[in-house]
Amino acid sequence: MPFKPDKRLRLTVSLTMISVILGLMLSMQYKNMRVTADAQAKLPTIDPKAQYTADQLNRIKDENKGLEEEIEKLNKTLHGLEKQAGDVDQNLAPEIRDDLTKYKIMSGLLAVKGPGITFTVDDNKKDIPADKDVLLYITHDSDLRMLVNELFIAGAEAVSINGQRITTTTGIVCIGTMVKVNNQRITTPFVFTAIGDPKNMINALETRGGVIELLTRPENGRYLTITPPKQSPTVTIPGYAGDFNGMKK
Amino acid sequence: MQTKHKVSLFLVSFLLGSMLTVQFSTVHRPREDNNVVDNVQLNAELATEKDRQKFYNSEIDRLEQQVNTYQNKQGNREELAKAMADDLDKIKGLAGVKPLKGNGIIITIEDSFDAIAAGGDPSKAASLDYYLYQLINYLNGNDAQAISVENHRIISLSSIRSISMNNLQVNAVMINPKSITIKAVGNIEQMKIGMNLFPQFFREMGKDFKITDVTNGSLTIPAYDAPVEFKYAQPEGDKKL
Repeated sequence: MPFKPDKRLRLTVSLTMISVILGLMLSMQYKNMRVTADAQAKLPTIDPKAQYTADQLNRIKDENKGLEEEIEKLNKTLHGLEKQAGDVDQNLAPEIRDDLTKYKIMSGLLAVKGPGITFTVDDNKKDIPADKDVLLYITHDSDLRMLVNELFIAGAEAVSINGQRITTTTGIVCIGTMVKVNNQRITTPFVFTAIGDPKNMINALETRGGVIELLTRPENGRYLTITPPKQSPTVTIPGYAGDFNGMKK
Repeated sequence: MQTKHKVSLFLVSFLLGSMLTVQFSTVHRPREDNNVVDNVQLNAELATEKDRQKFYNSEIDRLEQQVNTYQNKQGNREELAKAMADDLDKIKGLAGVKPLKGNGIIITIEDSFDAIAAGGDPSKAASLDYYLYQLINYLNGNDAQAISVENHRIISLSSIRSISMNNLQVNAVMINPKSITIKAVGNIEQMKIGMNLFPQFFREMGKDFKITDVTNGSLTIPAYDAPVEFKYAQPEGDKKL
């Protein structure tokens, strides 16, 4: 009778299957655990103190933004009063009023509007080939300053990057991976706004061998993404609320 | 045998089930926070923002006071004129149309045989304008309050460019590229930190880079003196400048 061998065979088969399944599951589990462990190792550990500082920082940044708006409003009110004073009283040396306006625009204190252009500069988000230097694909302080310099050569009267007005004492510097303009951190994408003769500025930026080509063409060794400058009948550039590197007290 | 079989199968299933549960909860444990960066950097940023807030608050006080002064003196022509003249004097300083005197540094960048002998290449001076405006940028980014290049004051509208090897322009005025003097009033230590990398850049062009401190308050940055006219930019809310 083949009863005994049959039973043993069934047992062997089922045990084999269970072992195979177990083995598979174990190896999957092991792999998954390693992935998880790796991911957790990459993330910094949650430090409650750092979390507290970060929350505080975000709060104070929000507050400062509100204060900046208040300063801009007060500067506008003041400008209005100065103009009014000059209008009401013609004997009140009109050149004082006009000079005040002129130098407030020149220093960067007063928000301005006028015809101009906008464009956006961004890091190259595509996969960077392993044999290429990452630094050629990201935006540097020097790139932003080069664009600003070019805009002023082309007759720009006011320029801002991500709402940070270029003033008498503006520095655009990288500290580590941070870009700071007017000592304030800004992040990609970098939106340029410039008031001036739009055609002049666009020609200067887009000219053959010009700054846009220099920063975006692989044959020049750079790979940034810059949108074509867009002309607009009115753009607005905010005023500067800061302390001019300690000059203003 | 049959019962034993069932028991072992049950045990194995139980084990498998619990393992899967553990596995699932391990893999999908949510991470709440990946914004946490270096604590030191956060604290530095927090300190900067706190300083900024302090300044903003004092600035708001000052501006409110000024608005009040103007409103109170609306009828008094002389006092109003004086208040406006005082304001104009301050604004001129910020715009760079008034000289500024103080402590600071003098940087001289000169063609140098020593730098060429050490491997500097004068043909690289084609990018002299690039390094000059970066240098000014780094002075401003490191607490410079006023800067001049060959006594041409740097203002918000300033630009620097090389038209050719012998024609370097600052504020659209030609200067001699062979010897350039840059003066900067401001925080001396901080400005020198900002200048760290620059001597090397200029040496590679065959130029010498020297920094002299001025600590007796006698360094004078001249005023910007070319006429300025705004044809396009006007204050928000104004009809015509």
